[in-house]
Amino acid sequence: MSEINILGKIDFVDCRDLTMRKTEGGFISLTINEKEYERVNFYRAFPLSKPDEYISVRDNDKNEICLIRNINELSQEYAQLVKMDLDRRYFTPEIIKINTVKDEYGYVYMNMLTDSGERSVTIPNGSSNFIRLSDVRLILIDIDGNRFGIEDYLKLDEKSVRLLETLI
Amino acid sequence: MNLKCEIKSEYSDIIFKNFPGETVITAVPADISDGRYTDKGMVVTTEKHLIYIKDEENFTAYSISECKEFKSEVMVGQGSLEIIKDGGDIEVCRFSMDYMAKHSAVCKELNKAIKGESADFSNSDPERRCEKCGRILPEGTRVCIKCINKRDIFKKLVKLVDRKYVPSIALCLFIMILTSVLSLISPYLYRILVNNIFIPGTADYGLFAGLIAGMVALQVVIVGLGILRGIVMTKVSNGISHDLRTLVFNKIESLPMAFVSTKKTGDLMHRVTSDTDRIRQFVQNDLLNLISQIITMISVLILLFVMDYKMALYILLPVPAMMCALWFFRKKIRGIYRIQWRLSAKADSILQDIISGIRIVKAFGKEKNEIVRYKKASRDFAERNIYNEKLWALITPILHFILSFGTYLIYLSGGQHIISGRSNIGELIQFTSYANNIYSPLGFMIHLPKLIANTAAAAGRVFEILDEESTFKEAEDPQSAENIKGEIIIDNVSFGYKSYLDVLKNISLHVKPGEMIGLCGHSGSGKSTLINLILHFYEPESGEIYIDGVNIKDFDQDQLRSRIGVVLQETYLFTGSIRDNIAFSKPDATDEEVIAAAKIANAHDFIINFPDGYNTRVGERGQNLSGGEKQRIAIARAIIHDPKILILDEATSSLDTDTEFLIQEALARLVKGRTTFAIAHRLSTLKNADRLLVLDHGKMAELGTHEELLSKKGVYYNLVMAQKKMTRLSE
Repeated sequence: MSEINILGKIDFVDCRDLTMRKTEGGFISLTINEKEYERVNFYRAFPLSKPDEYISVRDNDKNEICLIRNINELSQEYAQLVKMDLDRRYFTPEIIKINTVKDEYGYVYMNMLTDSGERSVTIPNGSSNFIRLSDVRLILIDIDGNRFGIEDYLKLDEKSVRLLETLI
Repeated sequence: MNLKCEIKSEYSDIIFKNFPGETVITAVPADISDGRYTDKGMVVTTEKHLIYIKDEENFTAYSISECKEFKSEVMVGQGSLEIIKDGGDIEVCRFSMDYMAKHSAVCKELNKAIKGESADFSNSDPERRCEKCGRILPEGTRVCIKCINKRDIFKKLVKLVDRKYVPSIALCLFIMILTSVLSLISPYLYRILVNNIFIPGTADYGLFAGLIAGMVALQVVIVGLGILRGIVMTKVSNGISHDLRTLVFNKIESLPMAFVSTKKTGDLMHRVTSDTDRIRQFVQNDLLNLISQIITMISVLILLFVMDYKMALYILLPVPAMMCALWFFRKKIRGIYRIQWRLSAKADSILQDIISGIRIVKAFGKEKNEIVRYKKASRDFAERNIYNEKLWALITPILHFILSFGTYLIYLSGGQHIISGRSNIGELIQFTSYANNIYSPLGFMIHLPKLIANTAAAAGRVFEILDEESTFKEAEDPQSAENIKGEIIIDNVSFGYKSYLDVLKNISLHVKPGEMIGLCGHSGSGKSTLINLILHFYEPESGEIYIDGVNIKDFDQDQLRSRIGVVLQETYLFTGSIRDNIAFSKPDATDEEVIAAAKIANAHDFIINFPDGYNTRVGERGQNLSGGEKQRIAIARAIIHDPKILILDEATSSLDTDTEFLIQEALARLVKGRTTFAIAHRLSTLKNADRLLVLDHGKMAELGTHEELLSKKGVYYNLVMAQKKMTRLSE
């Protein structure tokens, strides 16, 4: 029996085989190998570390249709469509500045500026709500399940860093 | 949950103008638009339409009757409202997770309305936030800590201290007041010594010796009182801390799974042990010290002002400066100690993590990585500790220096008085020693912010547990579960661990007493969740569960659990003997009962083979048992419990055929005459089941006997075929 390398046996789709269009309702319709899917959804395999790579394309019943290795392999028009749909699923505004931190009765109330506008969040005190992706990169999940990212918290202004350090 | 949020008058106008005759039934904000937060978006439903109002100018309306389904999809960090209809799905709008539950509730009711069922938009789910001040409400309660009476909170704190400690605490207080008063006599004796005895040429040795003896005696009494106080207080504070630990632990045990499962083991342990100890230390050392120091200070102040109000003012001169400094440092200190606690908890939790998983760490040879991980956490904590201590080392002397300034002022003014003959050395000495009696309490108070911050943080975490209300309220007039027969009716039950994510959907099942129901389905299909509901770990979101016709909520919960037995996949044996483990649920079982149970469970033979027989110690640092052995002990545990309802969760997975046979045999004996729910991946083990319930994505896919389902060629048939293929492959 010949040696089979079980790693690296992933079949990536040849992006030239795909055609896509935006539906009236705002979703993506996809045709692959002459089979048409009225509506598909896109999922990131590595939402945090590789947002543009390994994109799983799934039908409405969440069955995988194919795997795109890299969005850039798609034509610019299609890449735009995929990105648009990914934005529908993944929403993680980037924190630009921490305005105030108030600690009351077991919860921390924080007002901050994100690249999607101003936002007030609540996180329970005591448990760690910041996920440390590296020494400086953070993800914050608030009590309701909203997510926020900080690429490098040390690069924020001095006051924000000081306020953050009491929380992470 | 209020599904009809306030809407702007402009929006009401839009509805009024464009949809005449319709009224607003629900209104929920949709606060994300074009990738940005907005406070303008609103989803409004009327009798006929669902309208998304983007802003004052733009809105889109959908006729409800033309829609097939409304969906509030949970995305990552946001939600999206979708309409399923002929001619393609439509995305209506997006919203932050804050409004997820509300949109989901609206969709649920709308879908009922489409199907012609009666929809009820007056949602009774509790609101997450206080409607008055917007603060988060502790889970399971509707009382906002901020908005309720402060006195109630204080009362609650005091209530934690048992009445039996009151006499001891009063005794301590009395001792402290006495000590304070006694310590005021000493400086007065010094004054007599300096002014009347230490005069060259005079020799009243009788008075001299008497004074010295008096001073010694005074000191002996003070020291004696100190020792007495220490002994009494240690008893009280340890008693209180014991009570508190027990209270917190009991609370954790009684809290719903929903709360406990979101906390880390290490974190909970930290709260039971370290945090309660911190409160003990505060009560034992700091609180009484504070009271006694304040008493001393006030009495000395009165004395000083009576003696010489001018000099007394000098003493007080540096106090405002010190208070300012204290206030300034307080804020900083609170923050840095929170960081320190967080880092210490993080290091603890990593340690817990690694030690729990030590077998895997070693098996993969990853010890070094884990050492590095812990080292880093430990170093972070150490560094923060050093930083904090350094800060203290810096702050404390500065504050002390500011304080000592008063002494120099006294020397300055008191010295002048002596030189000009208006006063004498004895008075000055008396005065300065009184001054010290003021400064040392103030000096102690410098540490107060640190102590209070530390204690408040600990108390906060303890109260987080104590304030957590069990989601289940015991029924007012609980029904006895003593003689239940085991008839179970599951009536249209839906449940999700989060209210907007249904794990089980509309499950209905009537189980006859003594019937065995096999649960199967893919992993994640909701089998274990259904079991959790039957065990009443969680409460169904809608629908009810009845046992012998009585709602599961109305039973005496302890009694009900005592009628339910479980054998879980992960068999956990507690530290102790095999006998103790078998008799876990019935500690008064006789040795004969234990042996009988072990025999039925096919465990007796291997237990006898151990050198210590039934006395063999298991659990941590005990005899290592194999998976099959542990499971048979667990079965014996369930047998001795003699439950009416039995739950077997994957009880025979990952065992060799011989052992499986032994266990199958034991289980067959166990289930006889008991209502049984059995989960198994290996479908062959479910052959004995009277009926099989096949779950698929939380819905009831099929229900029937093994043969019925096979002939149906549905989900179950496919599962069986897939497993047959697997078995053939492995052969």
